[in-house]
Amino acid sequence: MRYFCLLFLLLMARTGFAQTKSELPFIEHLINKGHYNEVIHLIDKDSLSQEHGPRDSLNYFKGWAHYSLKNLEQSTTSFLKVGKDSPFYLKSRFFAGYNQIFLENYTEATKIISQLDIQDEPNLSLVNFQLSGINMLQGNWLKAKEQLLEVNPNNATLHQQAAALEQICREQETHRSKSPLLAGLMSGIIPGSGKIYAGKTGEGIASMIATTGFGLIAWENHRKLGIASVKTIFFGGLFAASYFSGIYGSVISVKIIENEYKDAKHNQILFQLHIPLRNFFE
Amino acid sequence: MPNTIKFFFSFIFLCGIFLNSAATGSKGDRLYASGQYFEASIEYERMIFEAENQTDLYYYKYKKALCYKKLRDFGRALNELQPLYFTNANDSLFQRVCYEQSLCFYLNGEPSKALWKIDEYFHRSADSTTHKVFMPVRLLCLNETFQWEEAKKCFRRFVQMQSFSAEKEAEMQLMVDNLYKKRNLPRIRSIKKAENWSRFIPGSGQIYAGKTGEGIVNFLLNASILAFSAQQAFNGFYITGYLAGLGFFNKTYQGGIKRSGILASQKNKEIIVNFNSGINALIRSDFELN
Repeated sequence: MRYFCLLFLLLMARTGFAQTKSELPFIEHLINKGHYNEVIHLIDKDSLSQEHGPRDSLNYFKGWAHYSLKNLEQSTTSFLKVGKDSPFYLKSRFFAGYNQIFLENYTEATKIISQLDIQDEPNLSLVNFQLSGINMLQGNWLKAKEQLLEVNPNNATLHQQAAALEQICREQETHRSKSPLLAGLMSGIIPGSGKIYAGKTGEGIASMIATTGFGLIAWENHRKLGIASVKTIFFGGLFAASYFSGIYGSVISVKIIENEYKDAKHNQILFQLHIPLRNFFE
Repeated sequence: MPNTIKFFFSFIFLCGIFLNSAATGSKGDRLYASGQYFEASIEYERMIFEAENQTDLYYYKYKKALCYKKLRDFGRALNELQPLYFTNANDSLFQRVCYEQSLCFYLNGEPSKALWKIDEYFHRSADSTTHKVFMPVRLLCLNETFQWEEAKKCFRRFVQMQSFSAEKEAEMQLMVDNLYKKRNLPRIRSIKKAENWSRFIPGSGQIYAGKTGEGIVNFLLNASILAFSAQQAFNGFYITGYLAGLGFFNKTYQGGIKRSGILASQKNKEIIVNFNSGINALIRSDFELN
């Protein structure tokens, strides 16, 4: 009878716990192979999500799968469910913060990272580094520089990226914005020159050729047929449209160039914030 | 407890363990059979993860590729099948893998790669009786790449491989010969020729590609712009004639050349799809594939 009971217990133990035990390495294998949709599908199945023991790990893997698929909101939700006792806790929190930075929810990102309450190096430097980046993205350059000074300069993982953020700060200080008014005026005097000033040389030359062409046609018709001729009015109208749209285009070009500059800086900061996260935790 | 009972319980215990581990494999098959291909692909991936020997690994990779094929994700199916290398060309799995690879290449719009895969199999496999299953895919690929002579030979050989009566076989061979006679073959438009036609007579390339209305409109548009340009120059409006006339004409003329090439390419695709769907229907109704 004892032998029977022992066998029965062993069989039950195997069927009851085998799935939970074997599922985590398999999920990790799927993550490594880049099968993120499969990971989410597996974890979302009721039987798995209700398991108590590996819940933190499952939330981490689900967060990671969503992060890899660029579903950043869902990724944050899963990352934030990872408990403090999990070995994935810090990584999950930092990546949840980064997701929010990417989604431009800076207040939420600051909250997630600040809540970590880290007092020791090297994680403290990473917190300051991330917070400095958030301030840069919000345009608080002074505060960002102060926070960047709190990053340990001897930290090899952060050193290069901190230097890069400092460089971005310096470039921001020396950056001189182009004037839309000046671009418009320049295009008014020499068609296309405003666009060249804005940095769009090709567009400027094309605009210059088109406006000059329409101008020449209008001038020829005016000289031979007079101002009242339909042809003169038609080509004159085309010339005027080309001329004024060139001025308007130059003003817009300056604004576009400025936005492109801001976007480039924004992406540079995001890139620099991302690198140490990967290096710290992988 | 008597020994017999002990052995009985031990047997039950071992059976339980065996059934538990075998369940995952059959679970994949069950899911596949019930049309849950995504779920089945996960189960096969689990078997790949747990596979202890290369034979099992290759088999589950093949099954996983079938799931992706059913999901119409031919790229992923090919990714699963590409790394499989068989030293023994007579392995039945080698044939199935090569077949699925060639079919996925064809369905993925890469007929040349499908032909290369089939040729590789024919070259390595000594057993020519296994070639039969590849014939329809090979035939469709040869048609898509306009290799009519080779396609005809392939079709004739496929007819020979069938277990038709002598009378039926002769009838089928005659039908194949007729199908591939020059007058019955689809008229493939040369992209180069279409562009050249439009280069010499604007709009004629579109007519050659089968779009007569568009060709006439294009011709009239180019002719009127050119006439306007000439009329302006004749009346002494040289700048207007040159810039407004020729400048505009240059755009419509160059655009017309490009457009005729695109139309010819689209027409070719349409013709081949129609031609191949006829052959496909014929093979499905009258031929045995295995």
